[in-house]
Amino acid sequence: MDLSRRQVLAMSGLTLAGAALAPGVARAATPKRGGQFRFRGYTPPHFDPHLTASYTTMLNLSFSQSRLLKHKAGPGVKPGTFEYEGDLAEFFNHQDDTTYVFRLRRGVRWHPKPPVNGRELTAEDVKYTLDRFLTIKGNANRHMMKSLSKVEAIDKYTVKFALSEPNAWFLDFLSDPMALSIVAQDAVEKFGDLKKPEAVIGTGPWMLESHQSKVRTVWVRHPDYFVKGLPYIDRVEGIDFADPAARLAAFITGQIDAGPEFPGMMIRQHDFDVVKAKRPQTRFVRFPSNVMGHVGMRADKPPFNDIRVRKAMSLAIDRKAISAATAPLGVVKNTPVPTALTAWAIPFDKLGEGAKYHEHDPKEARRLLKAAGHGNGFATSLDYATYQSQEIIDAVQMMVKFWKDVGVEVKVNEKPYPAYFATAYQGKYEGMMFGPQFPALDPYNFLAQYLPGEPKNQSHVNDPALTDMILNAGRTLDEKKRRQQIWEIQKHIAKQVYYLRLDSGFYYAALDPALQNFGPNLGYDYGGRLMTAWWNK
Amino acid sequence: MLRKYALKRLLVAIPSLLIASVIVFSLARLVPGDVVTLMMEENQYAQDLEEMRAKLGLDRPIYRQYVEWMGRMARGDLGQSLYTGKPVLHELAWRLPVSLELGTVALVFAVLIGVPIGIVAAVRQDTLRDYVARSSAILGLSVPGFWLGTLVVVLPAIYFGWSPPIEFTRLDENPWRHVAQFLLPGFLLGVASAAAIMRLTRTQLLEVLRQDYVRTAWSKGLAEPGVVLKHSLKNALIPVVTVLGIQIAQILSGTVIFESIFGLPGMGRFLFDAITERDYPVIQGINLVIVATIVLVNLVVDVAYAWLDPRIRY
Repeated sequence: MDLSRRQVLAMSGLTLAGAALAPGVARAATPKRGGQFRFRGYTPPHFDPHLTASYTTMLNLSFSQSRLLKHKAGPGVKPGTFEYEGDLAEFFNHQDDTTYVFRLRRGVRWHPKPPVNGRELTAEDVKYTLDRFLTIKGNANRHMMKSLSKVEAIDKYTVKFALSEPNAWFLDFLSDPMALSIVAQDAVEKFGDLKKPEAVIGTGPWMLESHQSKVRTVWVRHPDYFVKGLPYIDRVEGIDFADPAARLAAFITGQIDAGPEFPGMMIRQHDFDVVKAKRPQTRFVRFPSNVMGHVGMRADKPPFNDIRVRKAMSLAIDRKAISAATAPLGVVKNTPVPTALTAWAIPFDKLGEGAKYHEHDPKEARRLLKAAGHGNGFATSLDYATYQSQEIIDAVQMMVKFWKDVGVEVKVNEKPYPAYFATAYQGKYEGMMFGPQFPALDPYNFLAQYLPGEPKNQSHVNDPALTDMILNAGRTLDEKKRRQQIWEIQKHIAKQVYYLRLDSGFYYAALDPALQNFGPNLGYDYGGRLMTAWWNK
Repeated sequence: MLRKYALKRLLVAIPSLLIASVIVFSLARLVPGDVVTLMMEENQYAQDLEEMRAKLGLDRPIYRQYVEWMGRMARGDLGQSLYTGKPVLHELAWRLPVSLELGTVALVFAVLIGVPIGIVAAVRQDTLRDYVARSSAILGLSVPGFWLGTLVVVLPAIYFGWSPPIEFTRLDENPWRHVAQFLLPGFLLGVASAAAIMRLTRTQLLEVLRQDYVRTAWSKGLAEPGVVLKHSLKNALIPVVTVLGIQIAQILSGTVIFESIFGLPGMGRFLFDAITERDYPVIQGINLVIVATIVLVNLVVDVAYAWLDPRIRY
């Protein structure tokens, strides 16, 4: 299919070609080729992106695979923002609210490995990937493309996506490193699936050279990468070592080039001073975490179906005290979309009436409980898993104490993580649950926690007005308008107090100062962020 | 005679192995809740619950499961890792040598430290050297290995800017670095065993030193090294050999922690990761290998004991 000049000019999305030819390259310094980058690596269960939702798989694939769109990266990108730009797509247009046409770059080469042996990527590869994504049994990320009804390869370089209904998050999902790696049909046919390391064949900036489970994964530069000159760094090594003390020691002594903690380039808050003292040249970048812990309550049955009880439970919590005990280097107050997602989270001071339920007011909490018929308090339970985190244990103990102060006796059920994940995390509990939520990069994943029927709806929220608001926002393609809708949704949610949100701490990305043109961000797109970085040693 | 004794010990070892195999087999089946649901929902190890049950062999009557499982074990098929999809035996083939190397280094350190200090403590009973040796032994026994390991990794990094290498080096990559990476964890792992060996060596040697034939040796005017090392130590060390068997079991279990701290991709770390990842076939396979190793080592120790002291026959 040929796109008309009018269609191209009428592109409603970004004009991607210019940015994509030299994505995010620093303007001032002169890039240098060579060197290796060593970081704390992860051994994935396997390498097939369509058969797992594990971030360890996606993180590894971020070095070797490409997507149609990717998130902009570089030191100029504010952490917590995820503007998309072309990766394999040179540009795209909306033909209408449910049709997207992507024009692929020409001359994109697969890695020079069998069975593809460096052949050119075509629209058929994109179609195959999306068809596999939607049809393969066991794809936990399928929901991201649930509105996609048909993919057509119009010609060698053009692919058309038809949606069953408008989906404003569609492009966010397409650029999400958690799911949409483009894979080669030849590789799937040769290996049966893409689980084995030898099946890791992409068009990305690095090629998987070797993988030793629980030891190391090594990538080397893709010589025919489609952005000429990139990547600058020749070799990337992900060293998988389990012990946090050993990881800290390795970073202090320069055995790895980036902070060793989750999500792989950070340091723990309580290690901050040690690192600062022992590796003083370290470049730190501080930004709020999108990991938000919250208390879910059975809003579908007593006593939590009474909004006064939910408000009281929230007002009973002294969040400042919890933050001081668990995150000494500072926190951000969370809105229903975590504050870390700066493009979508409503500023806390604009949250309106709902903001006051974030404050500590035990007197008002007791008053509300009395008004709800619980003047003598009540007993309930809270299910949680420790995640092997002292901070989580401390937070739970403190909340139990605060609730007891207003007359609510909470029996704590500490569960092993698998049991917790299979039950409380999926909304299967009696009274309350507590735990950190999946650190998504888009607001939809957080708002889905309020939609009836969604497994993430841990509080069993069934609020028809809210459901309409969330679904309407999903159909609103105008981003400004949608942002306003998302803000209104957050105000509504805050007033209803469906979940008791705790504050989030800050991440401290810790980087070797010689690493140039690198900007850390949330999410697992390590390869995307490292692609334009170089060493100035 | 010795052969008959060895055969008897072997026959005793077989029921031990069978009992251990029943315990190991029962592990996945005794976990509270539906382990299949848990593993599926957490790790998506299969496409549906039925496939998961089939993978774990839980879709058949339990006695058949056990018989089939034992049959596979006997053929050397330890199952397949749910996490990596690779045969457990294949993973063990390159991980077991790492643990054996670490265990050997630890055992060498344990003997090299424990026996000489035990001798000094016995020969210089109730002197300052004895008190220091005994106190050190108690310290060695009481300090948790994971704590000691963590300190040894972190403190030099903080104070001297040095820490052990985090990357595992294979023998074919760099033989010296390969051996060197085992020295520190091997030493630390050997310390607790050394303490036990030291205490037993001291006690046994003290007992032997009080025997008539030793008094005769002294009265004949033999020099101290001759009396202690030639005439006494040989007899004193016989029980120590038995304890070495127990220490090997302890060292094997210690590898779980030390391999994780020092980034060594051995069987211990494989087990630790498998537990974290609910990879039950791996947990079962490794436990069976560990149990078999311990039974085998104790068999060898029993036979060696009988060989060293011909009076011993059970």
